[in-house]
Amino acid sequence: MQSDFSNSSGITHAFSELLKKVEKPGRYTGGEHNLPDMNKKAGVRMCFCFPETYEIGMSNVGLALLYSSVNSREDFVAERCFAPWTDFADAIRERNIPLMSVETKKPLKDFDILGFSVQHELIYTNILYMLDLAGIPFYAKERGEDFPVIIGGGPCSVNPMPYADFFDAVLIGEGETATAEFGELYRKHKNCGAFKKADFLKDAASIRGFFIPSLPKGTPVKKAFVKDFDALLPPLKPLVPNIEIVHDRAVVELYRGCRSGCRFCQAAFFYRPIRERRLETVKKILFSLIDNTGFDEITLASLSTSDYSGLKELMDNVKPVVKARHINLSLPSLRLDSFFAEYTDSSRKSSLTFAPEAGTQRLRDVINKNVSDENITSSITQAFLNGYRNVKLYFMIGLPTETEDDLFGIVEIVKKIRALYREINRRNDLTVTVSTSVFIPKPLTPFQRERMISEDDAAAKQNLLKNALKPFKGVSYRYHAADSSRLECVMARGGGELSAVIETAYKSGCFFDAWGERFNREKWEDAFRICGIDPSVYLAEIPAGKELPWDFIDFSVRKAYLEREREKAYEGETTDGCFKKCNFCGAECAFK
Amino acid sequence: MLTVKYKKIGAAVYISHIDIYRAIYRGIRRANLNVAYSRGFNPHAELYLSPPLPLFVYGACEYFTADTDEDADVFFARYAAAAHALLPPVNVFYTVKNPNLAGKIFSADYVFEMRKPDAEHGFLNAREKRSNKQDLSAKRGEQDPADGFDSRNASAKYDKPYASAGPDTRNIMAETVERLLSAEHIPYVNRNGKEKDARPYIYSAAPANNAINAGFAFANIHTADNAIKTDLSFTNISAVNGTVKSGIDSANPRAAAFNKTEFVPAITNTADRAINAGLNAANIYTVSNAIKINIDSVNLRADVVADELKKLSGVPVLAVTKTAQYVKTADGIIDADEYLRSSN
Ligand code: SF4
Repeated sequence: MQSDFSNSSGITHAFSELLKKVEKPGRYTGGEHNLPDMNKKAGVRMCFCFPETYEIGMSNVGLALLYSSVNSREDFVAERCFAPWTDFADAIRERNIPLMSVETKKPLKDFDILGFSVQHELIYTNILYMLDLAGIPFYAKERGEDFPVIIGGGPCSVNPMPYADFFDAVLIGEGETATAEFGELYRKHKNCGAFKKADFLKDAASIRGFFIPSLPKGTPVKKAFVKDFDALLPPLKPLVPNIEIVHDRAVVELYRGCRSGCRFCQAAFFYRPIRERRLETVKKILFSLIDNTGFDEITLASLSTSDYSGLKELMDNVKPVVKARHINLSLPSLRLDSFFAEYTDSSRKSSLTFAPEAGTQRLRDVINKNVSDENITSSITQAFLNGYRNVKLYFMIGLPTETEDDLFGIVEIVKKIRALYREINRRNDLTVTVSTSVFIPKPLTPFQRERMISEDDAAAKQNLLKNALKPFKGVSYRYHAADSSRLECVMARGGGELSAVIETAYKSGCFFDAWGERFNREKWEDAFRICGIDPSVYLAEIPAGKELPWDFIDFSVRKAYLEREREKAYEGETTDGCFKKCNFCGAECAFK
Repeated sequence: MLTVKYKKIGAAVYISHIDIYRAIYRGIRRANLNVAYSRGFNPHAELYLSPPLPLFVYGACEYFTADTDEDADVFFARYAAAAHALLPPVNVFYTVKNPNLAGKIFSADYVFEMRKPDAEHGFLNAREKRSNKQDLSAKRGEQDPADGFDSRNASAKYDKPYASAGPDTRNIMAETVERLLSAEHIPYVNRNGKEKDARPYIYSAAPANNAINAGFAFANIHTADNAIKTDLSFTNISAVNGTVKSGIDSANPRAAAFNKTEFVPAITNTADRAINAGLNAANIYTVSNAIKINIDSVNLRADVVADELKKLSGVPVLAVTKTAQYVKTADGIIDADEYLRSSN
């Protein structure tokens, strides 16, 4: 059935009737401010597929970057498609309409290239959900020349094996420049007469970052990254959504990578080398975003904002402008230090968010989290002097080497914070929220071979904290009981054998697994059983020397470096951040 | 105080009142216009919007008021250049005080566009493409023709092109109006879940004579560049008051020739996007497939009336557009534009 709903407003009466069946029609209409020209003549039409809702997908900086960079190229057009909520899915299924793009309502299967963004491990079934709604077979090998070339990429490309067989190609690393090269190559092949997918993919394997699952594994696949980050301008006219999204604000990336090397943190290693944007570039982007978006909030984003070398000067330049235009500037992931104290002085007094991750200095040294007890005390003191009354603390439980002492350390921190508050304010109205998550060992971290603690252990630790924190007035404790983090661990560290499990789980009704209430544990357990796979294998410690599914990727960070970091963790030895000197991890940082 | 009259078209009809507020507010910030802000923790621009439209209803006459000391023409020009393409401004009014349209609006005209009775349900042809050009060149005071719809608001109502409009269509509209007006009681469930009678709130209804005025879909005007030249009747075009002009791709020689004809560029600001999107001149006829109804917009929602029309006629309503809003004053019920003009 024809499903071209497009017209001047992109929406025909028939599509409008469809929208009457759904809770939030604004998710499916497009028509956002700053929409690029979709009428442009284009030899190659791509669609970026985001396997989450519109509100989540539109909050993703990577998607915005890729979308605008493809649309700015001659002969290329990129559209978007998000995982529709179940009401919309039911409505199109009922009418036999295949899933379509937001912009021109074109069925996904009519595009040249589909690019799926794989943001986290619980999104894998949603890839199948979208393919299913689009009428596209799940496995690359089942799709003939009639189907688009379908690629995956994003943060989960660090270990693409569990989902690799669903894709013709997986882009490992950062997409901005590699996607363009891939598109160019596609165009060349398409213009040379009869397009053959297999021939094209063979050629695509030579583009840095591209892993072609159908080809035999040979030389390691090198991670792609943007070499000249400063020269890569993000969209200066990004889409401004019509409906409220999760992060309704403009974002300026200050730099990529992270100078600290927390041993549990995948992003810190995956986004190396460290590349800063020049102050002038950041300012240019920021001022353009103010003029072109109208957002009332702008976020300065990075893995650790305090480490941006031009931060102070930037703030001095930008503060008067944002104030005059009634814009709130937000700086997430600030370290608690003198800058923080000064900055928070004039910002909104909401709640103070702080992630020490571990309760004792000993354990913080093990994980290489560069926060000392003195940092905590002095910064929190300053924050209280500045008027904060709510503190949110984030910790991990189940970290390697953790003992009960470390858990009581969390309680000690809470006690100290309360005492400080009383001393400064002589009042009792402080609220403290303690949240814990269970540590998940992730690929490409020094802890990649560690075990994940059992559910019973996790419950015992949570109970301990619950009881220990109960006596304190104004203190609340949050944790997830039986959540999906174990599945996350399995999917993070598993191999190609998990594709069948993902498929089985999807077919039994699992999708939107990251939406707490929708996660169906029994169905997942059944899926593992049906496929004859024991998930606990992936949760246990992986013996040293055993090959890892992501070993075929060259991330530039050396394996030996990660192993050494793990040894140092057990010795309680820290590694300085990459401030004064390079630690020679293998990444190609230009500044070192 | 400045009150901007704007339209709500295209995808903007699928978003809520608060989303509209946010979109306007963002337009104001992009334009770097000075407006009053609220005090408190989360200051926001103080904008006063006319009563909310239900989802799926187009607006030809929405209003927002801003507390600002900017010059009206400057405000309008800068806002128009930065505004959301689907909420294009059409006029600006200066008033001494906040006109409080949200509280003052009493009734409104809605045009209900009905499907031609024998048209099949189905999806639009694939030939149409969408243009996303967002060239807003709104000029102050430019108005649609009296009953005029915005070109884009109709959103491809015609899933099947109209070959012609027979007298039967006109009769059905007339009959539907008659039934509506002679109904003694039109039950519906209101927002608070109460069973109510809609009839007292329906003040007048009449078939809208001219489909072009009433609901001409620009969606249908396009791509067939040559079709414009060969098929289009000039009588009909003048009825849309020149909206075609700006939409024609002047790079196309035929279109350029067409461009030379003397049309008043009445709603150029909105036309060009639409025309790029899908002209099929064969669709432009003077069909009577619309009904214009004046209702008490405070007490009755347009979608209730749309349901009733469908019941009475057996023909689905394709699109609903609010075309005028009225304020009750000591001198009688006057158009909101007039009210604003008299409040300066
Ligand atoms: S260790 Fe050296 S190469 Fe690695 S991230 Fe730090 S500075 Fe860059």
